[in-house]
Amino acid sequence: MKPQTDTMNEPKPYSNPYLTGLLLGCVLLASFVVLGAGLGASGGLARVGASLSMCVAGPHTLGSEYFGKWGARPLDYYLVFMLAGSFIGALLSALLANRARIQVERGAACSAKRRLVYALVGGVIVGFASRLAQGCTSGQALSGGALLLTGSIVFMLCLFASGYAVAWFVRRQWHD
Amino acid sequence: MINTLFSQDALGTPLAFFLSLLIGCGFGFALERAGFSSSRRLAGLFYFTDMAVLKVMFTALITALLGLSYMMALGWIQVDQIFLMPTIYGAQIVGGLLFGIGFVVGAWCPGTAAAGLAAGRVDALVFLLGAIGGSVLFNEVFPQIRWLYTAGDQGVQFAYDALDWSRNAFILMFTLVAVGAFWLAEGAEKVRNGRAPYLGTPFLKVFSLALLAAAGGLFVLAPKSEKALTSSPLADEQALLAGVDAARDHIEPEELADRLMSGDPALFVMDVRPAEDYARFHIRGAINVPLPELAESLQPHKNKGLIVLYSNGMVHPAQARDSLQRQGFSNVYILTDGLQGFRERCLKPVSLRPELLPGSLAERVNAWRTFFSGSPSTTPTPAAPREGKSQVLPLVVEPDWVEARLGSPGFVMIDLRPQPEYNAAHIPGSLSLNAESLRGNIGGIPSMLLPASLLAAQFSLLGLKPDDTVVLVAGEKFHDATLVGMASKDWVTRVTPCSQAGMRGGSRKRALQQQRCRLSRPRNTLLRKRPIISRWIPRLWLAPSANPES
Repeated sequence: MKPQTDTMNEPKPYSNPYLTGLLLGCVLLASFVVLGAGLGASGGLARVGASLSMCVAGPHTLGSEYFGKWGARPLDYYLVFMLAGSFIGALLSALLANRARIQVERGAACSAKRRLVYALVGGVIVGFASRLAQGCTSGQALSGGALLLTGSIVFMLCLFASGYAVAWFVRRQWHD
Repeated sequence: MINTLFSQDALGTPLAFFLSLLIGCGFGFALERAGFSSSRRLAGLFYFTDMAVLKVMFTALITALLGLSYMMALGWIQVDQIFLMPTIYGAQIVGGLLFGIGFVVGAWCPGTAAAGLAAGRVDALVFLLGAIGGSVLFNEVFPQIRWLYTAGDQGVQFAYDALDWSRNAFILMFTLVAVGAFWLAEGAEKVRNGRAPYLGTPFLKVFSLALLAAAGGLFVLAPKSEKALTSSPLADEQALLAGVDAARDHIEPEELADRLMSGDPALFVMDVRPAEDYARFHIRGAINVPLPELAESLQPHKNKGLIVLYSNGMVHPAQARDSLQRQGFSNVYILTDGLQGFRERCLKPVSLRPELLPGSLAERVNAWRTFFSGSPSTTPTPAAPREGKSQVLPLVVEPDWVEARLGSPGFVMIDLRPQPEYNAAHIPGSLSLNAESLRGNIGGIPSMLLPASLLAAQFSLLGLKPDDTVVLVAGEKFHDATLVGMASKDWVTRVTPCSQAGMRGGSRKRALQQQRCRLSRPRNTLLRKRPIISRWIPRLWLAPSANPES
């Protein structure tokens, strides 16, 4: 009985990437057909940012040029719900596959603090860049790419180019 | 034919929110299945140790691309029914380069971090907080980088058009690149890790061939769609863009209103909103046609007369117009600012407008109101009001209103915000005044207005003359403006707060303040001039080009 419980607690291996890609593609297609818009995540995050900004400095936020046009209730937006949905869906999948563990993911030789600082810095850059480019890997690279939009493909190429260029400098967070 | 929520202008409805939640669940589930809830796995892409990101993303992209192309070829959906993001070279190149750095440093992107958070990753939580902070940062520095945000704007542009390829050929090439990338990725993993579970397997062979076959199949199924989408010669396309640039594709609300009133028989006004909205209100004389049936129902009027499309805003009619233009219509216009603009500019009663209307325009507005809403303005407008002493100034002034008067003699702006804010940026030529300097301890009671003679001396030191038109710029503290309004009542008069940017959210608060200002007006004062401008300052005047002083 005991060995069986052990295997049950083991995280299950990830699915076949190509078949998962097919599933993700179908979700994206459904989004196009039903909503008439692709998938997106950074838009929802920015709306959360706008609503926090509203709480702290309402008049200032409403008067600002970028957040101001989202009105006094920036959370009433479909991408906010999509972001919440993706959390729920991922939670379901992680629980089913026994992969939910509270941890700071990093290389064994890297301190948790360093990894968290990297995550924070990366987050700020990504949050800023996805507002500038009007989308992130989901909204621009994936959704816009599937629509063959020039800007989205250019975004994707630039993303890979700078990612590979910088990867060497931050490799130590993954050293074991 | 499928009608997307976007094409029905219904992305803001509870139904859309619910469906987005469901689709989001699918998105998150797929991301977690793929293992994108692990930052280590995501980062593996950049070290050639785990290429799952590339495999999953490209498969998903090609799947959706082919699925959509087949649906379009079968006539189930049109590309106009999907929200298409504009191509803005400057923003997307710089944004992409920055994003790549953030991606490899943080080892998450927004969607995968949401999945990572669900799987308990603390670094994902930190990343998400950072991304929220980054968005707020973007908003704060937006006035400084606005130029980049729109640098190289091409409008909606497809990559195959940019390369002057046929759509089907581009899709086949794209699929080939993706399949090639799969095999290279497997090869890279083999070299790095010594094993690649899918390299050379029958599964990968079949999968690759299936994708290529599906891409090739488009040539058989839809040689027509290829034509429909790309056959219009480049010259036509450029004519379309030139027309858009020169705003020849727009018709102004005033012109439309006049043409409709004159009963122009060659004018066809199309309301492309949902039928319920049309039933509630529409521009008199407009016909309601759902977007998908637009081309068909307009066929008899092709290139005859004038076709005007409108919706609430401008996005849908603009997409529809471009699509019609590609189908050979050259007489389609969209209504500037849509129905909202029409209401604001043609139907809003003269008495409710913040700005002064010349008499002739005021008469036209009344005529439009009678014609389009059947309710003439109840208050007759005075004949040709001119700006002068006796005339009542607007309660609320808009940036344009101020801009038109800046620098003219007798026009004074007084900035009541704290000195540091004034130093940081202010409207050129405005004076800084601390409202506290008008108060003092009188007869043992603190915070009383100083006696009239002292106030008069202060205002004359500022260079104010009794005939001046004064606009107060209030910061967060509207009561300062009220105080100054009271203090200077013998010189210039009337207090009204204004905030263009705060219109939507702050209207209640503003109304209260307005009321307070009215109550505080001295009764026997000759009410003349004193509007306040407030929060729009950063919007208009921090722009370096607009403000040489700061």
